[in-house]
Amino acid sequence: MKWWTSARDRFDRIFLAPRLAVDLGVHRAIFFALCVWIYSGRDYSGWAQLSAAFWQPKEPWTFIHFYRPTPDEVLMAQKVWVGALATSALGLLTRVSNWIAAILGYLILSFAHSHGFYHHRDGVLISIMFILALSRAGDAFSIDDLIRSAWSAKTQALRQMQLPEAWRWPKLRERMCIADASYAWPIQCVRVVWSLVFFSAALSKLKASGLDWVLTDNLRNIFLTNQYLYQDWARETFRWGIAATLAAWPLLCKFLAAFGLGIELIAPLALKSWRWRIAVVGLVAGMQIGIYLTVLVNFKEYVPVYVWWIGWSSLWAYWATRTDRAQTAHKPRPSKS
Amino acid sequence: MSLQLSLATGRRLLILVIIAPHLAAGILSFEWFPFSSYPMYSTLRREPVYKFFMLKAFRHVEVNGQIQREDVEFRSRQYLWPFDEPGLLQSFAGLIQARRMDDVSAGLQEIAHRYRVRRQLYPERNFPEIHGLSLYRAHWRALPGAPNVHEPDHLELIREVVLP
Repeated sequence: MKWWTSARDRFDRIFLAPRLAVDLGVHRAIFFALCVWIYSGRDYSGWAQLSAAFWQPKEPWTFIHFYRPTPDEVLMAQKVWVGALATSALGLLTRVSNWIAAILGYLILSFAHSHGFYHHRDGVLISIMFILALSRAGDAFSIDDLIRSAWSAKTQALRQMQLPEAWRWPKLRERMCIADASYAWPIQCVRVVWSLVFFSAALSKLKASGLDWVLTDNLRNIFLTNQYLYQDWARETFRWGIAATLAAWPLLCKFLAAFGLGIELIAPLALKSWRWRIAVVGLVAGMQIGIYLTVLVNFKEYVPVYVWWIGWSSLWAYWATRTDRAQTAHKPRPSKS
Repeated sequence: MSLQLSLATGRRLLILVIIAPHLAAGILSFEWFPFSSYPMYSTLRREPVYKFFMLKAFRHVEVNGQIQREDVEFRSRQYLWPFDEPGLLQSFAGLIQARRMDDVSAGLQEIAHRYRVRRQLYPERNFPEIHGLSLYRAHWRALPGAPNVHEPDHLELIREVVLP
């Protein structure tokens, strides 16, 4: 049973080491604000105007295929959804808002995907919305928290953490001191989901093509053929000549294929330590920007996911300590006389 | 103590329930929105040949007293909404793979009809007049800069609709 205890301890260290409530709160606010930015300008009611000819249902619509919403219903649902994304960002009725955002998002996006095309990128955001719905993401950095604090002077701190002296705002500090495993596991789950996205993509490539994915002209051919799928965007990027230049160097394309596949395979190492996190997340972000400029796939939906790798309280503590030091250095020394 | 233990166990189970489907989708290669194995670009492209579908719009114009057919650029998202061109072609690809050829014809008819309605609704947008749509299976020899994007090496008509 020793291995079991050791595995459990390691699991707990990764997922259940106490974190500050404000970390999860800031993540929630930024994540949902970015979701509002992405989804508020889109109109999904057009999908409900299409006839049954295009209907190719995806889950959960394979089970509820007997019902197709009308354009007005989709428009209404979309308005409520974007509203729920906004109130989730603000932390107003957070639990309810998070659940509405997750469930309506799941139904609306899967309905759009039920017409023959599939944006895998949306799936990550929906997964995160469900994780947040299951968590206590509204305990800090939320309007709910401000209302709770106004009603009751007592905070429900489970554990007090030692914070730098430079954290000077007492009320805010009091709320930020709440630390618990409840605020740790959602953040870690999102990071694991992010890692699995890239790790699964690497597994799929190895399963479908093996090492030929790297050793043949596969990536070069992807650079060349994708111009025909995304013609408008290809015209723009080929003005810069990135993919055309790369396609002229088959060996460089193989190196890039190996590099990309390698980065995807090591994505779970981002969970290991902060040094790995900076290296791996930076490499994956660089890879996605590279894909955007060459394979012409837009990863805008991943922006809210990258935010989850930032440790907000650590950043703030670092900034506060530096500010404190700077203020001490500039303070005039008392004269001896 | 027991409450703390059960709380920790409950959280561990919850974490496993969240992560397991993502892990299983990756290992077992299944697609169940929002879980996915992310199979995009996993199949090998050994040759720089692009094989997909091509949508063309046409109109009839009179030249020297004779009616001739003229191709119309028909790729803008404004024309195809709620689809964009890659999305619409993927959708047709799915229908063709499922051998729903009647739905391919109905779908083409619908896209053309929706376009005509939108053209009448928004005259200020200067949408070009079209008289029909054709869906082709096309092959291109992929070249840097795609200079042959409008002239595929092989074109095979799948379905065509003519507007009344």
